[in-house]
Amino acid sequence: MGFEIQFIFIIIAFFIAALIISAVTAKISQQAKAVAQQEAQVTMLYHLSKDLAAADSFDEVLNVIRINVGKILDCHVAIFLSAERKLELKVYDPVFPINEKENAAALWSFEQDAVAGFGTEVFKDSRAQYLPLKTSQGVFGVMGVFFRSKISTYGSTNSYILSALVNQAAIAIQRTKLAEVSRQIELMRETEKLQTALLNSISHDLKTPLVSIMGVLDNLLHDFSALDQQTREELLATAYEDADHLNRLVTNLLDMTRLEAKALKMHVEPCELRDVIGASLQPLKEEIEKREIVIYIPEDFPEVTMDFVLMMRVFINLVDNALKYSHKDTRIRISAEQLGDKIQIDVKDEGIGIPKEDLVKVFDKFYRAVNPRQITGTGLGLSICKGIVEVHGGTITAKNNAGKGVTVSVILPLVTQGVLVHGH
Amino acid sequence: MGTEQSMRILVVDDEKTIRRFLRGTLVAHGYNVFEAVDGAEAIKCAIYSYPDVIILDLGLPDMDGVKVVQKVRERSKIPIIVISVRESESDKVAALDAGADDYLTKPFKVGELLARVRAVMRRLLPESNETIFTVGKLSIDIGKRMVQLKGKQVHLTPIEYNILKMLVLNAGKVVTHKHLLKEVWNKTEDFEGIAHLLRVMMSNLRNKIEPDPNRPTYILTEPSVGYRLSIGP
Repeated sequence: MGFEIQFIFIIIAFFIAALIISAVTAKISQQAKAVAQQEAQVTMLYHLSKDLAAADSFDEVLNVIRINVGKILDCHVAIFLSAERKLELKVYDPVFPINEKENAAALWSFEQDAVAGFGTEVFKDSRAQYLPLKTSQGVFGVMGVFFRSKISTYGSTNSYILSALVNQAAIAIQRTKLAEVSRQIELMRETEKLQTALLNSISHDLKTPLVSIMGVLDNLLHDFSALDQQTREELLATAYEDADHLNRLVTNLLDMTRLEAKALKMHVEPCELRDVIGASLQPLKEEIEKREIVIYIPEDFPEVTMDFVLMMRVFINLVDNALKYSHKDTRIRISAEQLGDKIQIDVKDEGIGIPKEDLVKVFDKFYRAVNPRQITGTGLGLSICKGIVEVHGGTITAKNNAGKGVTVSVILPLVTQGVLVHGH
Repeated sequence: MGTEQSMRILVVDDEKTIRRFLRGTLVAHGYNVFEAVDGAEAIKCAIYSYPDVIILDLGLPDMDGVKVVQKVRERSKIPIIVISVRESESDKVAALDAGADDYLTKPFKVGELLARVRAVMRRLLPESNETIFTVGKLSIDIGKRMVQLKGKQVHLTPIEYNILKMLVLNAGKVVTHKHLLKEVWNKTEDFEGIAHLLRVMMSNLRNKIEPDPNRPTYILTEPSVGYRLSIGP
């Protein structure tokens, strides 16, 4: 008998052990399943944050949230954001239910800062659930989630993940919003800085010659007889020089304005390049009298279609710059060569050069690379050149020479596209 | 020049300060000056007051300056010098086509203005027997068809010579492309086809007579308009 009882005990023990093992196994397998699910969700969360980090616009951030949350929870998502005291539907999946009843639930959620709709006590009849999007600064929107299968997917685990996702979404949206605002502020500050620089530059450059001109005239008007002949002549020469300078500034400002307004009328005609360059040097003849200027244009150089008068503005500005930014003992070389169906014209000086980082910027409006007080200018010349060269379908670049100074190269098509208008 | 003393110049400009500046300058150089402030007054003065030269601003309040040139030309051959700002370059060509003799772009130097006035007045002077024109080291003898540079004879082709002759006959005055094509090639249309030839001939001519053909000092280019023979420094 003792033997039988022993067996019964063993059987019971085995049974208990089996029960325990099976319970433990079930628990382990359940845990493993939960871990796997969590892992999958963590992976998806990781994808979400990665996609959020890569998103570079506000709309993109909203869409990343919509798609990722939909994938993680197997649901359809809509995002509402507050705009001027109203709740605005920003992005939504095509199947997301949108009607007045749903909107009312969303609005309630937003106003009460509480979850509403499906699965809650408020707006029970709604097909989707609405969760407030908020940061420490308060509620700024609502996320709506509409589950594909009503019962199976929605559980307590998902509820926990859902609120985590909503939090992450809220932070991402807010961060992007702030970044956008600060970018706009930065942009405004830059524009303001540019405008201030522009105004300073123009008013300085316009006022300076006027000060001298008015001073000289006032002097002559009131103290004419007190001044000796030589002083008068010197004063007048100064005033004239400044008036001449003022005239060039105004011409450049007008050119720039016309270029910007696209109001430049092109009169394209075949031109002899040598003639264009020769005519460009004519207005500068006083400045170049004492300078060595070498012009090299091959004998058989082809005619180039261009606007004679506009292209003169380019060479006047380039030569004027070369004169201003180089010592009077140095040489300026203007040369041209044909490159297939294009031509290249180089204006080379042996002056102070341009810092490497400014070689492109010098063609920007109002940008002056080297700004020594004794060299006057508006920083308009090169940007006018660029504008004119570009309307001819050409390019203009600057590079520092191996030795000293700068070479500005203008490349133009032999034949500029456009209507050929001769003379007028 | 003694003859300048009695020359009467009509200044047409709506800007008071410019009229005052022109009057002062011209009177100081011995001209008689009277003024008009708009196109209508200018036409009336041009016809009834017999000026010797008209200096006409193109930007008038009541009518286009080109229209004034046309109206005056219907009745008279008075030399007209138009002045314009750079924005109205195309008007300048229209004014020359309408019969204006020369133009100046504002702002200009007094020396330029006086040179233009003298150049257009040359036409009013009785034909002189003097047929030798000299500028710098260049001299052209129209009577003998001879061109000399630094005293050495320059050989020109007939077309080159005819171009130079046209410029000499209008020394100091702008000669338009159209005018040259008409006088030298006897062309009245299809200017486009032959304009290239004019540029080539001009280039050759400059190679022969300019000390530095890259930077001409005798035959100056008037951009998009024509050429001008310099009459001095």
